[in-house]
Amino acid sequence: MTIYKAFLRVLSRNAWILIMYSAILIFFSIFSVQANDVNLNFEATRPDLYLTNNDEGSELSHSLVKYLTAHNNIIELPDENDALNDALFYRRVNYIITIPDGFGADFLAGREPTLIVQSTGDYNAAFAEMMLQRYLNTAQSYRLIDKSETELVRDVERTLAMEVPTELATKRDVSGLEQAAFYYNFLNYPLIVGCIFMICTVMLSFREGKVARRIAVSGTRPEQVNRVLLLANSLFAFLLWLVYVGISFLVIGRVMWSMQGLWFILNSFVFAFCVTTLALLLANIVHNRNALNGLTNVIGLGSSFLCGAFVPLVWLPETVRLIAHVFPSYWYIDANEKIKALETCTWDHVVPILFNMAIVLAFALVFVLVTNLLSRHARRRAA
Amino acid sequence: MFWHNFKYTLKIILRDYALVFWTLAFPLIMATLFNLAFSNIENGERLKVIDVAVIDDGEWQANKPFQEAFRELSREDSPDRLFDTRYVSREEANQLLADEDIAGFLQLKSGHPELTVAESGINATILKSAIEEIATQSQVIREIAQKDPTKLAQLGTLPTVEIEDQSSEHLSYTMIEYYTLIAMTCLYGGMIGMAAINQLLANMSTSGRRIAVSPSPKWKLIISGLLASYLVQLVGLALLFVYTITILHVDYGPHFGLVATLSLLGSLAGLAIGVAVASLVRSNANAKVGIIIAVTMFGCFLAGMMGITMKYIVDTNLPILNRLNPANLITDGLYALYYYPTFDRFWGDVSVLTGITIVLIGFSIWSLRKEQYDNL
Amino acid sequence: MKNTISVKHLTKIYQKIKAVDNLSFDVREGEILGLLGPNGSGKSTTINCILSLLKYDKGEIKIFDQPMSPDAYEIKRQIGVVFQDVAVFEELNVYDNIDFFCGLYIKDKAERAKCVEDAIKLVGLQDFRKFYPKQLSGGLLRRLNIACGIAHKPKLIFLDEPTVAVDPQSRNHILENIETLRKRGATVVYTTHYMEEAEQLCDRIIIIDKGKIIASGTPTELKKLVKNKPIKEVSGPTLNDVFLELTGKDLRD
Repeated sequence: MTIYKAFLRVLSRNAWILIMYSAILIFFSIFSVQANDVNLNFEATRPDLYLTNNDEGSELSHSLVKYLTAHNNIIELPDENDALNDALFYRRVNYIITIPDGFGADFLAGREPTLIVQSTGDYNAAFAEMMLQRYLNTAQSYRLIDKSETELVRDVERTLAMEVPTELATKRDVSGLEQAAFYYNFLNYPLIVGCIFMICTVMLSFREGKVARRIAVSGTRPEQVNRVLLLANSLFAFLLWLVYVGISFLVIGRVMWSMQGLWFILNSFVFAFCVTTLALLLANIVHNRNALNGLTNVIGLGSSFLCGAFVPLVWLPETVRLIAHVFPSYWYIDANEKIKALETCTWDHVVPILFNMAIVLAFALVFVLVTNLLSRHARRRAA
Repeated sequence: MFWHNFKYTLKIILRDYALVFWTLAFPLIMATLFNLAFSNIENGERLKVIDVAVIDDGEWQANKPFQEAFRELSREDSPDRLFDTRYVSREEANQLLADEDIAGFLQLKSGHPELTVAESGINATILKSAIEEIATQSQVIREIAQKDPTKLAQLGTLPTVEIEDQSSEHLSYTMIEYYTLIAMTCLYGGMIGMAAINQLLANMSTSGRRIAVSPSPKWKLIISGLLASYLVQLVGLALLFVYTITILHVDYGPHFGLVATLSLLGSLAGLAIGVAVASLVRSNANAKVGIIIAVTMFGCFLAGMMGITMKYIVDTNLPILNRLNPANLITDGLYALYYYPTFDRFWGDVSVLTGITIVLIGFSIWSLRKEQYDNL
Repeated sequence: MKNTISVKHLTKIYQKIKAVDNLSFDVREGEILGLLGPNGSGKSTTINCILSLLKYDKGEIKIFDQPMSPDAYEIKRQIGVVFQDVAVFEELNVYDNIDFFCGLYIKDKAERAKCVEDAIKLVGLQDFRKFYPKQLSGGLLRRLNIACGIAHKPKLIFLDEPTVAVDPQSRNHILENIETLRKRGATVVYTTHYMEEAEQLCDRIIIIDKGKIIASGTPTELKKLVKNKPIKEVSGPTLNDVFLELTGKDLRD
């Protein structure tokens, strides 16, 4: 009982660290992925666009603006150079179009007017440019046969209104799953930092300082102390995992109640177990509080950056993804990605996920074996 | 006495491994991680050739416009290539879609295109848009042929609207990550100054009391201690620059002299924060380190270290917060040098940062000036 | 005999409480003066005021017949202080710690090196020159603390409870060091709780309680003050009895 009390004291003194990392997790999973409503119909991607029309008098320019407005998110910005430049750099907008005065008249007269654009160069910008081109090409073609501006604009709008019927193959809640996968991928960071920091801090205070001395004089056998500590640490890790699962229900909600949600939970449980074994291993190696701080940050940030907790795996360079295979985090996050794409819970689809979990468990086994080896070695040296 | 203290301050700083780790090694580790994680991210956001399929049945074979358009859009040597198209049966297409090997497939039904996609997203949207474009073009040609077939020949020689792209070449937002890293290094440097000053102050540390009863003038010791701290800070900064430039190939733009100037000033601001925390906050050294870490990390967070969107949100919605945030002023100044052709914004950032530094130093002097204390 | 320190009407008030209350005393050249008193009696406050670390509300302090102030560097050069808390740098080894503090007093390198060596020998840390404070036991750490305070061979030395939490061997060693320093001609102001120490070491003792001097004199003179029957009959009254008699038996903080 005294050991549990001591454990709780160490825990409460360092609780702010856990709270801080949890806040980061919640903050990012709320703000980085905005889940849409469940939608089983196709939804087109809409680039973020900023438009300036200096050709107010022209029907054609108006129609162009109307078309672009229908297929893009029009972003309101202060009409200042710096504001526009900043918005482009920080990707508030993907594409900026300025229609010059007299554009419509020049166009109709068959001259070759110029449109000024600014572009982030990513796929959203490319798509916005495709739409712009499409309108202009269609209008050019109709100029051959249409006599008046009104007629031309009417024909262009009629033709561009044509839509291809599109069927969505997936029945999954894609945006919800996206958010859940983001949350559970990001979880790598607070889970690793929280478990390693807390468990190592507890073990350090039990090995040195006042707590250690108090226990040494209490008459409890060291093996018993170790057993209780192992239990207390595991219990702590389990509760931490439980809290994070609870938070995921609060933050993501809906999708967590699905079959995929269950898989996310199972996968994170396996990973939390692995992290606990890693923390216990490190507790045997690290004997200094400063070193612990550094190590926790390096392992937490390192594995998160390299294994896709912060930047999606598909966007990491090939070599980095290869290196990442040596971390359990990679297999955990890769499994999350597979769960995200999990259509039906059939054996064929589930095997790859189970395979990843098995590898995470294998890591855990190695950590446990090394820990035992180290402590046996330490005991022999002490004897 | 001056150099005696200078020498020993250096010795004390470099023996403090935690300090050395956070101020010298940690930025290098972060730079490496940023490089590994972000080097590909902007390429990942560029449009790539999309894997699609077409149901190759009798109807497809009969539709020349669609065949031609898809051949053109899938041509490997074309700079405008959009698709990598496979011509398959309906069953094969369904399988490809289920395996996520294609974004979607097209089937023509009585002359009309019908699209099946795996999920909503940019690839599916572009596929849909391209098919609509093909359909639109066929429609336009049909209409022209109907109304005035003589104009059909002119379709190939239509005047073009020139789209002039005026965007800057320097649009790489991952640069912000490195800039926040420089800001972090500058401000973390404050820990060094904090440690150096803390041990000189009689009301802060026991060693300070011993120093206060010695015949060495306090100012000499403070200045030599700060000089030693600043030197170590600059070594850390230089290491970061050398590492990011030579190993990670980070491009700091054409005005490296100004980049260096801002970094020197940023380090000074970090030092000023450290001295202010050392002299104004009455707490143990660990708590003071905690304050500097917290201020730095929160500042870097607002400056976009954990995602550039944060910087933009604060810049546009609560500009005063970032105008007073030293981490952001350093980041923003470097951003201005990289992105803006003019220097107004850069000098604006520099002057606010200078102001903050002067105010902090002023407060510190006011507090350090005391030679005797009301209590110890 | 000349006075090394003269304190007149010293008063220091902490938030309305008089920590030092109109205190006047002299320290004579070459003597070891013991400042005794229970915890919180004002001993350390008095010393910190004499050293110009603390502001005081009233009074006059002269050292070597000069008024003491924070920038009285010529006086400070002659003073050595050993604080109650161990004040050394964790990051510097034994030699560097002593050299650092000694360097605040003595500029000349050769002279300083000799002083540092003498100090190391005096406190018996010859075998520990390259050790860092973390590697030293409590007693050795105290000895290092003393060496840092006296390496520059001051004429006037303040020792604020230098033997707290030290085993008897180290304590004896430290007391011998203080004797040696006095034999070299230094004046010593020594605060302690340990009555035997004061009895053994001091020429004169001042007992302070609640910021006031309640008794002063040589150890023999003080023992005569005891009115109550001492507990230990056989050997006559000890200073311990004097102390308890004068300050009462209530527990202090």
